[in-house]
Amino acid sequence: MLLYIIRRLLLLIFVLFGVVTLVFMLIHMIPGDPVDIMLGDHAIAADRKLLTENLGLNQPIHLQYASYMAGILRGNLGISIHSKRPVTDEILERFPASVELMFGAMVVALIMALPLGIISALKPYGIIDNSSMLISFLGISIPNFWLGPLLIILFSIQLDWLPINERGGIEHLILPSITLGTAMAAMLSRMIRASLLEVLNEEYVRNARAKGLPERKVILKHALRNALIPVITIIGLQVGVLLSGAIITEAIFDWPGLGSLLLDAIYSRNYPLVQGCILFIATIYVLVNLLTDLTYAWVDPRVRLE
Amino acid sequence: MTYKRHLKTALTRYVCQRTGIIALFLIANLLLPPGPGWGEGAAYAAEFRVGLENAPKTLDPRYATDAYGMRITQHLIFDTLVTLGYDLQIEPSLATRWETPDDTTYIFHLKDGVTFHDGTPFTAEDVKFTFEHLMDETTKSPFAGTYKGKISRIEVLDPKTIKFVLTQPVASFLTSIILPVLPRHIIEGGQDFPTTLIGTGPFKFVSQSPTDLRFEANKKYWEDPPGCDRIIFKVVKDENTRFLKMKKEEIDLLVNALSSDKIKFFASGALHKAYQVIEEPGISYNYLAFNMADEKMKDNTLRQAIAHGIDVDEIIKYKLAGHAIRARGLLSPVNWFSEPDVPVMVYDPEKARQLLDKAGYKDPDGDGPRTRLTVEMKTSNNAEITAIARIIQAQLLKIGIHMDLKSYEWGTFYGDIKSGNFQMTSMRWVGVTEPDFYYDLFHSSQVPPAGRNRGRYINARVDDLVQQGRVTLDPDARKRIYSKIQTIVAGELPYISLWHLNNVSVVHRRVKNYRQHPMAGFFSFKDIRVE
Repeated sequence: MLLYIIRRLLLLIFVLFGVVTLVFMLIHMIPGDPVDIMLGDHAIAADRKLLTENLGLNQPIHLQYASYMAGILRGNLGISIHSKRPVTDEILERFPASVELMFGAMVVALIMALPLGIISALKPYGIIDNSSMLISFLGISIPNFWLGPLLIILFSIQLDWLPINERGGIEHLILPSITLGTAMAAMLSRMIRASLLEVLNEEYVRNARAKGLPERKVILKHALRNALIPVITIIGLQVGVLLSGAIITEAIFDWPGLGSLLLDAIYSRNYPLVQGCILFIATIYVLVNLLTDLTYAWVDPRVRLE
Repeated sequence: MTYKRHLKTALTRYVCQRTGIIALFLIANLLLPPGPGWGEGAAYAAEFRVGLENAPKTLDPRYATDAYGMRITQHLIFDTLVTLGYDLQIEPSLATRWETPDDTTYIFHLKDGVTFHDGTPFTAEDVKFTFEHLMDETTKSPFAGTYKGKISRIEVLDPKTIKFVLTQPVASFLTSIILPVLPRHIIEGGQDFPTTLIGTGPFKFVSQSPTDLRFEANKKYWEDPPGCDRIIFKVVKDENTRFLKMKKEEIDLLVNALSSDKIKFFASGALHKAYQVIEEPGISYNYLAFNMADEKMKDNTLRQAIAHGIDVDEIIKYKLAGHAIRARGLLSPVNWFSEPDVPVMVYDPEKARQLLDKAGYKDPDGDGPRTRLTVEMKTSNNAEITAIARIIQAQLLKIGIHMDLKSYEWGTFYGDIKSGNFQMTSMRWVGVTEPDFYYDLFHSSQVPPAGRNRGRYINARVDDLVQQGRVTLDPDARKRIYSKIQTIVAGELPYISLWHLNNVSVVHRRVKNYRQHPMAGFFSFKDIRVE
């Protein structure tokens, strides 16, 4: 097990090396010049040249790459072009907000998906299953930029229960979490239903019933746990998506997360910040996937990690 | 094996219990009534809440080049030597008066009794330091180029008098020095300037986060102390969210941050009761630019045909809901230098077709679907700009021109425009008050990367005039020069002038003394009272 973890972590280094290289090449390849965007229309050619030199952007691309790599090996992600602050600081400042939103969305998704999925599986093609199907279709097809403002109108303006936007106490987290978590809930509930239906036909479930276990125990302990593996896979993959891909939700609720940081960085061609963000997100992605694999072994003792 | 099994079950149970507790805690939190103090609606009486579309890139005045960054630094935290008043004329600020003994010398007399936020008195040494610091290569300020080669030396005559000696007469000198005066003792003393931002202005910097910026009144301000205790800028990126925050009265002021289909909701009902809409002509300038180096576009007849084929008034009336005035040139009618009597290309599709015939673009099939020619227009992917470009596309189709519309993300678009990789484009100039800007736009030496003559417009007569305009100090003589330039450019059409957008402020009725500046700045914030 330990050996497995070490091997996976070693593999992480190669993955991240690939990510850094790819991102470096892509961001430098797309048209647009950070100096132009930064100076706007105020600067004259001399200023532009000076700034280009100061940022080291006049050097050949392979030298820029080498110096960036050298920085990373020393744990230095570079300096953000606009704020002149270390990239690491900028990312770590936004990270807690992203994690908070991710957990919020996850909790919303699970609270909605687990009961819906289980009940649907127990009474397939019944009223609950059909309405849960409808809810899921709605959940997946309602875009965030529509659901978000609707929730604000209902809960913040009409009912005046919750704040409109910004990060703050737990009451600030509710609307963004629902906005972000609904689509995932829809997907998860269908996933749980399908997977549980399959498991319910297994012999060990019949066995459990035969030996007289209460139905609640049969479902929750024997069936659900075995049905969770595909669900965990989805959750693991979604962590990465929720961390970096909540751009629209972040924009609607002015949530200071990583997604909007990355997007702004791309627009302003803030090379070090873009690279830093993607490297960071990729690391988390890989680590979460490792964690997902470890969870398999916990959920299903038959899975052996070697 | 059994032992292991037991351990695992125990562990599982433990984890499940813990998760259960956490889940319970979360649910409990969801159900709890909101605690006191979180309701933004209950603002402090003297707190002024302003919505912004995005956060300023930096508040360090040495590097701030974006609109919000410049407004906050120039009008709130810092002061400038002179300033542009509501009529866009130069007015005294930290400099109470000035004289020009000859064409290249300016002597400024500075205000007495001005102190920085930390109590240090402001003197002429700070002024000298400011401009030398900005010109210093190691500062890496984007403003260095504005002064380098123009200011020959700066002398402190006494603590309240300072002399600037220029290398040559510079007609735009007074406008060019409208930049925050920096605290010499802080920056030279090696103290932390970018996070403390000590200035002489009416408001002190308190804190900054990705979503809000806080300022408090400088009670010892040299003019009357500000009328409100605190200013809070709320960064609200999404327009719907901005509007909803207005609906809940959580924002006191939005300047040019709502589209016309949202503005109309303030005409009646609860929003009208709570808010006042102030609309006045602005100075931003929307235009279509041609690439004069392009084989097709260098033909003046074709450019005229296109100009006659675009119904600008229709776009203003319907698309912009009347929130703009027709432009005749770069300078808005508010500007003293603007020339009203220039050639105007009125909408006339018949004339446009005749001009196209003349330019050699015959109609291939009369009423048929084939077009006379194809031109390419590049725009940024801004929703409003692309929507307008599509209207122009439809209008030009009526005179037989197929406009191939291409929208790009800003960085890519900007790169293409600068490198001359375009035929037509639609852009906007913001904040132009100084006619010397014509030099940057149309002098032959200013083709990128040197300057902003992106359309590669080259005309020896214009070159000569913009050069004269730079060194002519007599205002009336200077005005005559720029009148000629405006007339020539309006006829030769390197740009098709579209409109000047109005400035639209939506301000809460509890806010008194708010006055809108033509540059949409935060000029009047020091006078504001919040009831």
